[in-house]
Amino acid sequence: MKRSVAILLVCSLLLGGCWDEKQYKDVTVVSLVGIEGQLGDIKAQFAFPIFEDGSISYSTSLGSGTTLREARNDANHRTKEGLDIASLQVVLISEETAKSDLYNYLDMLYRDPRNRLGAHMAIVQGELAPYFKPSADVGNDISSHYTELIDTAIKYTFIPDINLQKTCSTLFAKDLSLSLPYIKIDKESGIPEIAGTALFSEKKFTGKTLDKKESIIFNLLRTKQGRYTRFSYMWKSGGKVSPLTVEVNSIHKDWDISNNKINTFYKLKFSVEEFPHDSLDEKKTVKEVEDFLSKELTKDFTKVIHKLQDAKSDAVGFGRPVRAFHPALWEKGDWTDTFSELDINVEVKAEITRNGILN
Amino acid sequence: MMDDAVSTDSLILYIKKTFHNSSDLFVEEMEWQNGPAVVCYFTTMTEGAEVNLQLELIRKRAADGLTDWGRTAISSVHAFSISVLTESISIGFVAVIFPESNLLLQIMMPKFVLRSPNEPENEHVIRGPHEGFVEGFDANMSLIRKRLAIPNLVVQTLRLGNDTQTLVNYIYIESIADEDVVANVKRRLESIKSNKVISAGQVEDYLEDSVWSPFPQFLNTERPDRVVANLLEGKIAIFTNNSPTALIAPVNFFSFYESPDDYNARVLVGSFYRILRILSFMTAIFLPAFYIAVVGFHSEILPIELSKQVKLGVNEIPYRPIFEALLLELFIELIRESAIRLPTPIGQTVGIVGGLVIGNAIVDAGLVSNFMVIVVAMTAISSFVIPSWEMNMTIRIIRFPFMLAASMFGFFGIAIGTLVLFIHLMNVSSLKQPYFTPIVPFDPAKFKDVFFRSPYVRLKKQQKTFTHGADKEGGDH
Repeated sequence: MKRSVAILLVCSLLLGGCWDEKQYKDVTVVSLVGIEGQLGDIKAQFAFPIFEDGSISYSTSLGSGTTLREARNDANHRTKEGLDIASLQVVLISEETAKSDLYNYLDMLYRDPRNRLGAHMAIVQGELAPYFKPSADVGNDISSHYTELIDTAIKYTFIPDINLQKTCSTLFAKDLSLSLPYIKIDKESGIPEIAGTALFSEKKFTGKTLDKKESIIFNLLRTKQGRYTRFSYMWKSGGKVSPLTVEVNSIHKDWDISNNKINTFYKLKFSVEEFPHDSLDEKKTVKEVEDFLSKELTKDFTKVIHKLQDAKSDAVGFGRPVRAFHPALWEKGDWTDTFSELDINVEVKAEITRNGILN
Repeated sequence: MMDDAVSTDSLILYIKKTFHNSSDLFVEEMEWQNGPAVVCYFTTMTEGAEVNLQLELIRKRAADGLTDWGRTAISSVHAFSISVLTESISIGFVAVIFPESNLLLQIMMPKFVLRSPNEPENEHVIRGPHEGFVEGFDANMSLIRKRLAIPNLVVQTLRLGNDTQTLVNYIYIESIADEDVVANVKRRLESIKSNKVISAGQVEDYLEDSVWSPFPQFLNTERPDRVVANLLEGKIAIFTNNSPTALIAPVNFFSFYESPDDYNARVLVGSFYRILRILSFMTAIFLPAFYIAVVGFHSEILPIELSKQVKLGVNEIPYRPIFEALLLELFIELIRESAIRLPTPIGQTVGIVGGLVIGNAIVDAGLVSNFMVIVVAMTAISSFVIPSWEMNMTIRIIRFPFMLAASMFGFFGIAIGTLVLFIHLMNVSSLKQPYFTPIVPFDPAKFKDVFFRSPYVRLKKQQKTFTHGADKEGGDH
């Protein structure tokens, strides 16, 4: 008896059907998901590689349903193997969809422990379909196009580095608004490109976006730099004109918050990357360049702050210190409203610390 | 049963009968100064010319009237008894019987063919002595004594096995070895009740604390320098007479990962390779299991760049990863086993045919994925770096349960398996000494020696693998 039980147990090891087994060859690795439509009628697009005869090709699949999960199930009607979003790289959300409570669409992504919360998120302009099959040639693997596009943009401080996990915590933060990369298709080339930053207010996309340069400034306001942050200006001073490109080496912020006003002071250290006018060995020129940069940047910074206030989106996070240290200001009312009407002053001081190996 | 009345003729007949008229037995009567004597020995084990010389010497001593004429460096005189007679002849001594005086003269001059002490095939080192033990204890002991010229080196001998009369010797350094452990070895050796004691492996079985543990509790080595190093750490070496293998105990798990090369190489180099070897323990046991778990359960942990290649590899494999792994693992084991049995030139050919040709073809045929070939090859290489053959085999076998666990429960299975493995390691003992020291029980002073080979100039303390209460508390010696 004992022996036969033992034999049966050993034999059972040879059987399949282990409960949470998920053979890799039986799943389709979805690396790009697109969401559009409204709650109750969601359309989801999936991009994935197909493996056949030792070579890889790429395909997409469309599903619709009440929720994202149902739309994914629906898409399984049309795919060979089950869709698996555990290696998700990028989630694209159409502009119109994001204008309602964003969390409603994303809930499923947070519930499954297998899901990858490091995936990037982006808001796309217009309909989703052309983003999955762009008219321009961006390579076969469309998902890697977006992954690398966003990775590069983060490296160059073009967009905020916000992944799926940060999205969730930011969505529920009362003192911080979400900002996501904004992608559009260039009309001429047909290539999907980073167009700036999409601003959110209270879990909803405001419809307002920052353009490319504003996005960089926005990231500096947050003091979240990528590896490279570059600006170019046409430098003018007393009749002298020269193009000027600088790279931000370090940034230091100082916020002075009072009950009805926020004075912000930013100190940026630059290295000069391009300046044909040269003569940076003269203290006078350096001073002139610094003054010029301070003036221009103060102007640009203020513009971005106004834009954020206009969108009622505190994506920079002024709310954090306000909530922590200034209860009177915080309790004035809903923070996004308070923020949009608050007097925020910006002063930027530029300092040139390196000027390259010339002079 | 002997009395004066018995003639030398009947004695010779009797001896011949005892040894069943074996044709290599020499039994002849010869003249001694006060009566006849019977000389008997095995011609195959003793050289006749040498016997003549010795007998001449002893005869001269007797003629000189020495009272103790029979006692020389290699001979002794006993009262005659049949059992002493048969025993001495059997082990290659010359026995000279004097029926008149009822005495038996033993001359110990057996001559056996011995291999030269070449470096053992399975324990090559780059630097350091290239000597190895041979199939005779005396020669082996001389190799050890040569290195340890101290009076504290003790040899104890036991004769085991009623049929084989095998000499089992255990050696230790009296001043360093723990007397409890020595007593323990003695007790265990004496309690071996077997008619045939042939090999070191058999003695090992009898001495081990837990025979069913996959982990070897004795370090087998054929290198005198390794034995000496271990003796100096207070360990005991056990030799079986006709085997070149010394069993060393008590050992801990990490002893199996130390190579004489570590101590001959320079400090940094020695430490690096020791760490590399200990890390190879991880890959050798866990790598196939990890791969199976990833492909079967946790594919999400693969980076997307790699995942495509993995998926491309496994997509067309018709069966579950565990079968794929077993197929290739067993295949490698087959190659290994066949390469051992074959003479060296052919063995290499088998290696090339097996490794390259079949390895490549098996992927092209779609029987296993190319990643599995990498995993299995990596695993095999990791297990071969272990300097000890027994531990190598142990590691090779242990990974199969891990593969099964991984195929059933994924990482969870590996975690449970690891738990069981380490619980077992903590419970195993070698001659009642903890096997997993210095990790459990934790010994911070020795912990670093597991990973690093400290410079000799820094080694102040007497190295002992196992500390006992008193030593630990003393601390200042």
